[in-house]
Amino acid sequence: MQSGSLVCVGTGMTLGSHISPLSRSYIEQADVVFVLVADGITEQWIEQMNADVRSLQPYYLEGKSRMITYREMVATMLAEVSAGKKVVGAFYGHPGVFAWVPHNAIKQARELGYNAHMEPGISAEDCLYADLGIDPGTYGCQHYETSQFMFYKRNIDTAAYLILWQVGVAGDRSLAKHSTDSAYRQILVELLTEHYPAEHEVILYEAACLPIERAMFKYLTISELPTASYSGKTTLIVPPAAKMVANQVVLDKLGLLSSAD
Amino acid sequence: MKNVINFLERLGKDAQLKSLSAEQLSEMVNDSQLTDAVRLALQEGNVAELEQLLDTRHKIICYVVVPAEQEPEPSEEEPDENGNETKVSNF
Repeated sequence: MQSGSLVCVGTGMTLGSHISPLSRSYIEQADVVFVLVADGITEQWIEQMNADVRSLQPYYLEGKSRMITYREMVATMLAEVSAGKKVVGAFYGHPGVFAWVPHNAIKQARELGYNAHMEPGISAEDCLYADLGIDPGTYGCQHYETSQFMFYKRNIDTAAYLILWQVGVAGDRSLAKHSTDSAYRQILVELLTEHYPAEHEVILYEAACLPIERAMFKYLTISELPTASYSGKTTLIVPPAAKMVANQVVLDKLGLLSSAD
Repeated sequence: MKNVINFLERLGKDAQLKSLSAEQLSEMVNDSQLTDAVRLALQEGNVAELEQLLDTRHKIICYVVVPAEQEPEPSEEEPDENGNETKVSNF
């Protein structure tokens, strides 16, 4: 095994509240830390933990495909791993949830013969369940990246929750926009209303990044989605619109089993 | 400004501070060694002002995933223009 290493850790969503002791220890003991978090104050917080913290933010440019940006981020981290350093990638939330860069950096580092692994963090999804009082086990829960949800035909279960991430860049095929406008979300509305009533109540949600902030949630109807305001952190939650339908065939088979017991 | 970050970290990780009323939190901010401008921003929950006072990075982007395209069929080897077999990267 080669001498460099890579650990991608999650910093959680809220400054000071969510980072695990082990993730913090990895940051403090690293030779170099690459940081990608959701606000500038949290970035400064991570900078206090290690003498060599480098932000990945400068790789983002409006008009530049995020796919290029992400590959550059991976290459930058791997260059330091290849130089024999203990490298940590500190990503907000959970580094493995809706996060291309950490997964691919770890995969490529391993392919090159380096030790690489991931330490979980508290994700926006975790905060959402706590803040909104939703249990994904009650009715089931479907998660999609919003644009992927729009680009591909999916079988939507309207008896379960539907959660769409990165709704602020819904429908951006170029991957080069930092936000999309109401026309894009109108197409999302058209897609959703194939399955849900236009007046079905949905929720826009943002987890708190700082301890002086509160989580944001706004209730509105699907038809109101195009005129709402969004940031890069906004998530769309579509609660169930139908009741679960019993699968009588399976229930009958199970009934035969239990009567035979 | 290190004190401001330390103050926020303390707020974030101390359960007792989580249960403070707005007035109690305001008193705690007043008792801190922070500058008047920072105290005001904290009391008002004015994150934009706080970011300005801390001179943080602007226009943070936090998208870290792309809408995954369908994985191409296993593409072990494809012939190049000269008919030679070449490995194809699959991102």
